[in-house]
Amino acid sequence: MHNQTMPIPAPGRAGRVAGIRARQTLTAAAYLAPMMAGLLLINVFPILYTFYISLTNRNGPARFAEGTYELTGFQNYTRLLSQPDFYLVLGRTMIYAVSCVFLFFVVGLTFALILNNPAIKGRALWRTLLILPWAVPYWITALIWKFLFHGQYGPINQSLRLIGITPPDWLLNGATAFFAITVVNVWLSFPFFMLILLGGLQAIPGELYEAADLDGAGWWQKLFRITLPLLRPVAVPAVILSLITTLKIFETIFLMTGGGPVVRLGQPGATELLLVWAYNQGFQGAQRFGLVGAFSIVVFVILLVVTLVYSRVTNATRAVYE
Amino acid sequence: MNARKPGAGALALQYGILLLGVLFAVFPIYFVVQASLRPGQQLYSTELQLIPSDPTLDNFRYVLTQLPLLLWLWNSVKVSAITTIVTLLVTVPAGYALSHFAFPGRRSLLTGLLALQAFPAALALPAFYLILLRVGLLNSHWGLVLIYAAGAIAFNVWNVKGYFDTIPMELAEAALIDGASSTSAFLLVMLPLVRPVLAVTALFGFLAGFSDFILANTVLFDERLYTAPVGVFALQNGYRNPWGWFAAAALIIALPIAALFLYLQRHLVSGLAAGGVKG
Repeated sequence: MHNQTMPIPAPGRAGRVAGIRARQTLTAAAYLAPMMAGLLLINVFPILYTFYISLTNRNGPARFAEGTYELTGFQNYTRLLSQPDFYLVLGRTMIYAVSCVFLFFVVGLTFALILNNPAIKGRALWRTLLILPWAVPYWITALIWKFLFHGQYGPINQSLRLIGITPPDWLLNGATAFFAITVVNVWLSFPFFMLILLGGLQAIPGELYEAADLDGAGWWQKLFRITLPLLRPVAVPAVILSLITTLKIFETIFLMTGGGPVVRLGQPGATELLLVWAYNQGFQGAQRFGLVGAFSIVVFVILLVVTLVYSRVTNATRAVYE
Repeated sequence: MNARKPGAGALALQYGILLLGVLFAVFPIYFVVQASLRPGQQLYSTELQLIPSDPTLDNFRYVLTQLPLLLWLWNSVKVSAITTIVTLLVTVPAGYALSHFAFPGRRSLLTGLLALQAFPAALALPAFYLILLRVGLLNSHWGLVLIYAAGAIAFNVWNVKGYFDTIPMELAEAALIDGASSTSAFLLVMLPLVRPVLAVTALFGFLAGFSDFILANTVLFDERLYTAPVGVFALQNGYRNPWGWFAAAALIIALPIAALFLYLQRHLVSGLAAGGVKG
């Protein structure tokens, strides 16, 4: 790749441009090669393999046994999509994702606005304390909160009893368990939003607010007319990306509740969101790789649609703001 | 929002919200710290007690002497450090190429990267298992590195590419005109300009290796190869073991990652805001 850019006079302008193009493509290929290898082996292959498995009746007793299985066409898909439980879980996961991301945004924005205020003293220290949750590995987070919400020994209930409230057994009760996994996710994710939005706020020119002040605009007016519209290019990608990651949430909830509690027998547990449900269906007890494969592909397609909307929207915001 | 001088009341309200936020953010961490200092089963009480009455280092002594915790921690650090290096080697040149070179298929590659993100990799454990089995990296740290580093490609490449987008192309061109090769223009001129995004990418690479539990738990069988999460997870199963053991081990494990975070945090705002977000 040790090419000089200034080539010795070439046959003609068109030929020279083509030469530069070809060389750029070659250089680019060299820079991209390691990534492509990783993508094909670790990203693309599992998708193809999962798709293949989803077309079979592979249901072995041992965890990853090869076993014997045969192609059964789209049987797994019809079985999955005709299950009412699937739609229950999907709907619940969407409600969870939307409320979580809304809370990430509101909490993150609140702290970003305060940390962006020069009148606040010790802003670096406040910021450091507020991003601490981000630095905790997720499996530790899940296990800490499992204890904090514990019915008898958890400090949340210890405090509630102290002020005379009879507290619920958070993780053993459908609605409160759902609330608990929301709180944990907000704890995990608001620092990211805070930092992203803080970066966005710092880029908004102060003159805009001075002009608004001259016009006698109030706090809320400035928030909705200046701050939020100008944060859009920063906020929209962050919102949609976290929507995707929240729809895909697995480890935190799996380690905290395992998907439970079961509110009605034979129905998915109250916190059994998409991937948790699929994991429990496929890898706990009976091994139904085919069904889980079909499930993965269905989720993939749903999230793909969200992703495409995402790239549309970001392109649109870029066109407007850059 | 801050052009006008805020009144004392508004300022007090903001400090109040900050305090609440810090309480929310820090209390769970404080809880682990105090739990790690409690003897035996003292934590299993129905009464609130926020400061241990007779603090002890017994839990730390136990996890450090009775368990191979330091070995597990070393395994984790090793896996994460190599993951970090591989992540940087793979994603930084790719992000640079996607930002600064014109070549056919560039746009579709970028969209393709986003599309791959949509796959729920947590459910692909059988596929990962099969890959590692076939390449002979089952029950090996290298297998983990391979999957951690490759698994986060999409996000990291987009983030790096976004950051390179903010660096004027002319800087590299000037170096080329001065006779530098394109490799040295990249290494000597461009890389120093994107330090924040290098820091962020390194941090994410390290985190990917350091915080995974499910995959490591699936593909490592040898107790001496366990990474810290796999080894420590068993400690909190059921309420038989003192939770203090888990708390002490968790603190020891979280310490290096928290230190890294705090050290790199000044880069976090710029490294993320310019990259991942502006896309």
